[in-house]
Amino acid sequence: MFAVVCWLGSALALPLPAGVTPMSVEVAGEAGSPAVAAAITVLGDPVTSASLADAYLQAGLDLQRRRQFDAAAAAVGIAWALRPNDAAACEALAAIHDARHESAPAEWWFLRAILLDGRRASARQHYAEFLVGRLDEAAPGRDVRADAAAAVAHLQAANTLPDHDAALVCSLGRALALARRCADAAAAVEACLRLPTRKAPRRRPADLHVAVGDCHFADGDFAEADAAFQRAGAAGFAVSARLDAVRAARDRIRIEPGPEHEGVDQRARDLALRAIAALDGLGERRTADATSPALNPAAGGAAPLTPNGSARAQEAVRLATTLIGAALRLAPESGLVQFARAESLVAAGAQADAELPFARALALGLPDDRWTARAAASLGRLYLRWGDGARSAQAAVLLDDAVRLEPTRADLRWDLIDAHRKAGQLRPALHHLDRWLRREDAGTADQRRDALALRRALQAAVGPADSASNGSLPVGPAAAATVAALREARRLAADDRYRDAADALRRHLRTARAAPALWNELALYVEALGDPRGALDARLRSLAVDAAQPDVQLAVGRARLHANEVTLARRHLLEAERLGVADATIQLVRLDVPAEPGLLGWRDVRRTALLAGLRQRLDGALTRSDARVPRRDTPLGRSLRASLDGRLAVARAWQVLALLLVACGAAVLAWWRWGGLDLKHFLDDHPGAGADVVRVLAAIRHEVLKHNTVALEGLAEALERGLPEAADQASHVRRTLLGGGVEAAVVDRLHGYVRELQLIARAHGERLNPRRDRALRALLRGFGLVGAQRRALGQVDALRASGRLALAAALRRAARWLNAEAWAAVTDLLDELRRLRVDAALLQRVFARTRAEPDLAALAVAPLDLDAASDLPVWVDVPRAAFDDVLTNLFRNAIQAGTALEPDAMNGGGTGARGPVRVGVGVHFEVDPITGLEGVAVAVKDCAPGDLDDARIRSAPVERGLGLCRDLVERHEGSLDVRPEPAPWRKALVVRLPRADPPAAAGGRT
Amino acid sequence: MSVELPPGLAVLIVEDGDEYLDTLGRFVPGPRWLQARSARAALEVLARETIDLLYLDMRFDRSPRHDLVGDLVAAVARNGGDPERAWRHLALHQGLYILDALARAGHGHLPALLAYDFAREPRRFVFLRSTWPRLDWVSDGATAADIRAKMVAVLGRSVAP
Repeated sequence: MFAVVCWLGSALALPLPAGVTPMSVEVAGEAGSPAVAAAITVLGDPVTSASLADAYLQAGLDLQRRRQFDAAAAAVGIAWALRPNDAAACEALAAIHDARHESAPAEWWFLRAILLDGRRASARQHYAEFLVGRLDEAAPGRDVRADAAAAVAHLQAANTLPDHDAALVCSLGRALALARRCADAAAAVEACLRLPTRKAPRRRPADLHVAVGDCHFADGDFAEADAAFQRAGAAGFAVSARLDAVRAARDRIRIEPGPEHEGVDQRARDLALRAIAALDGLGERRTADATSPALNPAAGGAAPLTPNGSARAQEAVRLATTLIGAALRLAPESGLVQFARAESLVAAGAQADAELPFARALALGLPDDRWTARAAASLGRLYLRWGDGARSAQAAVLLDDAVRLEPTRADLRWDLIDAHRKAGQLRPALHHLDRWLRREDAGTADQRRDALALRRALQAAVGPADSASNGSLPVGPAAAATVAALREARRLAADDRYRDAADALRRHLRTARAAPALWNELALYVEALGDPRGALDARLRSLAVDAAQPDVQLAVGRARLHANEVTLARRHLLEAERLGVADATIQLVRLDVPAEPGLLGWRDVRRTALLAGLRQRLDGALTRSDARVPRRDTPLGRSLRASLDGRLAVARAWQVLALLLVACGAAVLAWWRWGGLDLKHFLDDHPGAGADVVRVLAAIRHEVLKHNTVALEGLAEALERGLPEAADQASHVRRTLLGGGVEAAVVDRLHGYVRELQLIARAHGERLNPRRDRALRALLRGFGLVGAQRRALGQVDALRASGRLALAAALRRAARWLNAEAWAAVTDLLDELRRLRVDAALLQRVFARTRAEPDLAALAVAPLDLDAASDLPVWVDVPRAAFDDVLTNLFRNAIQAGTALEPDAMNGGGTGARGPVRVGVGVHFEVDPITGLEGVAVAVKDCAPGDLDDARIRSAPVERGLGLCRDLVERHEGSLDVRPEPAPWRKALVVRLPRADPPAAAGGRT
Repeated sequence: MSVELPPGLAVLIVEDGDEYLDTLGRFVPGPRWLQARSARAALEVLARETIDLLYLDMRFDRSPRHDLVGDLVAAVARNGGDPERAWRHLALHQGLYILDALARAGHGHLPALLAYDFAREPRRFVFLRSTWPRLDWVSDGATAADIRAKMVAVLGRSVAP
């Protein structure tokens, strides 16, 4: 200290007081610090200290006037240290800090000065001016009225003191304006301006007018604001922006004088409603039934405007503020106006200020119950937001009123439930929850599930208190303390003081931590009070003492699940299941059920076993008789079972469908592989296709089977003997049979013919299966064997001896299939198809059938006149059906032609009497001398002259009669023509067909 | 037991393609294989070469019509007056018509093998041999050994049966 004093003395050129001896106090602290004060007190002499304090104070004030603030602060600090109760020193220090823009210490010193000397007018005035100055620098949007009100209070107090500064009224004017007491502010400013300049040398009239104008503007008194700004402008202040704002605001609200019959209250009410409508457009709505937000008292109320709120929202708040200002001027005693004001304050974020106008609104009365409910709900929610127990209780009262007035508002009831829970009143919370749940249309499925969970929690908490006397307490001497604690808690809970009950339990648990019953009870309470984490913590502590508590394990598992801590949840649920809790199994099943069944449940097809296992596990849980803990969640179990059943049904349906598809596919494949007809059966059913089939088979025999044997056998022999030409022969076989050359390969021709046969069958509505046909199967098999050797055929030179032998063996097998099996099959089939034995009996049968036809049955027809010189029996190359058709047609024509004759003609020019129609037939061989081809000429003779000739036969349409006959015989390498016949016949239609050898005569191949 | 062909044997193959020449040339080695695609070409070969054996295909359905021989008028009459069927008849049995043409040109003494399966038409073959005594046939399923045996057999057959 001595060093400080010496330094200051030298610095300020002040003499050290007599008797002061230097002390070895090394202090470099700030003036006024406790260290300095401690040092000063050791100086010992109060008189010396006082005089010294005066000296330093005066020096400090001088330094302050010279704006040497650091030195001034040091000097005044010494003065204050020497005399700590000196209000002047405190005020001086405050002023120095204020000059240095050190707001916090300045305010501290001002307040200390005023506390030390409440009648010190200068301190109050300076402090008020400090506050006003600080308000000028306040951030936009900050509510400055508290500071302004304090400034006004100090200035008004100073104004009553005898030594106050006359210019104080100028500061008062500004403070009043900032405090939104616009009329008082205007009066103070007027008083200020009336002062002589010498008494208020620092006043700035323009600033004062602007402050008054801003005050009027904020209150919506635009006329007064305009006048004040005009005066400020006249005093030289740039006020054009402010004047523009006033005009814009006037345009915006357009307050027009109402009709004569419309009172002031009505206009105020309209303005308030418009303000509320503007505010209702902000934030989210809690109700969905707001059909007209502007006039709907059921709307949720304004949401607080966040700092980053949109410009539109800020504009809405500004508009509402303006409207409410105007409304307040008109009818400040209107409840609706007060309500609108409160809403605007909430929207502006000044919730604390909203409490009073809400209360006023409720006290003054609102237009109807809906508005009252809304105001009560808004204030209740405000209290609920503040969150402490007492406020929550008030919130519950208000919300209870709101619910009573608006019983259908589910959102209000939920808030009420919340308020009761926060107030620790679980019974009314449970009551209202039950009311809500009783409504069938209450909430979504998720909301109802949450509500049911909450009800369980509330019931669990309410239950023990209700059963405090029925033996649900621990027993035994060691449990006495626990029982006492539980009794106390339950007594409080029975009075619906669950918070107190929870607190009581916590108190006991500080000394009795190993009491699971207390932890469990606490968990029930805090969970019902809305603290799930606290409940979880309590239950975990309980389990730490005793893990074998199935219900607690289940509850912890559920809580973990709710917190999405699946792994931990599973651990507790498994433990609960092990302890016999059926509900734990249900929860585990719910966990294990795959979430996504996929589109139409197709993903579940592969999970059928899993789903069935879960279903079985669930069944076991729901039907278990030895469960130690009764089931409580059967609805979940039932819904899970229903869900699993549904998914299993869908999955099994998919499986059945898949099986059906597989079966259908297999059936199609089987039909494709083994279904269809072979050639023989096809031709049995469709003999008309015989000619086409014969043609294709003949082509196969000639085009496909030709040369194969000699090539395959020759190559096999060359391979076996190791001849060098084997490679060339193999290449030839590969090229001609399998392809790769320029010409079409034999196998390609075979496939072409097979396709042609299939097309023929399809044309008759049948499917020809080559695999079922002996001839085609053998052909395909033979070529398949050759095709399998394609690679070996291409590299004969590279084959070892064993490879060559294997290739030769394969080729011989192929040759046998083609030569023996295929050739024989094709030839046999051809023979079977077209070889027919023609004898007298056959001719008679055909003739008899023909004359028995309905059109001919009534005619007189002589027996068939069979030429005795006929070469019968004889074999022909034509199918039986074709032969029958041709002969039937010719017999029919002969009979019909005979019936049209004159009687003489019928008898070959005889007696003139009409006799029966005569038809003759002769069968004779013909041999072509060059080709050796034998033909069989079947001549059907009649007595009708007719004008038939070969040209007419050739031009006859193929659909009927002779045209059909001609077509049939030509398709079997035959012909049909007409020739004259000696008497008694007139003509004969001659069918020529290839003659066939009888089967016994036909040998095998050589 | 494989039959050996006489050395220096000249065989004229008459066919409408190259299949017989290719196959026989490769798998029945030994003879000198010559080829003609029609009766006229065969007569030209016979005029300049000494041929020991004729080897004839039966069907000439790839030959141009102007190369086919045979009585078209008779064929038309035999086929109901249908010229198309007549042409087809000539093509399908052209081997025999060629034989007839060669016989008419004085080569009826030559032994001939017809590539056609007469196994199911023995009576027809008997009839044909009555007009061409040194005729035999080879089925399309014959092996090289079968062909060699047939060649040897027909070569040893006398003109007068």
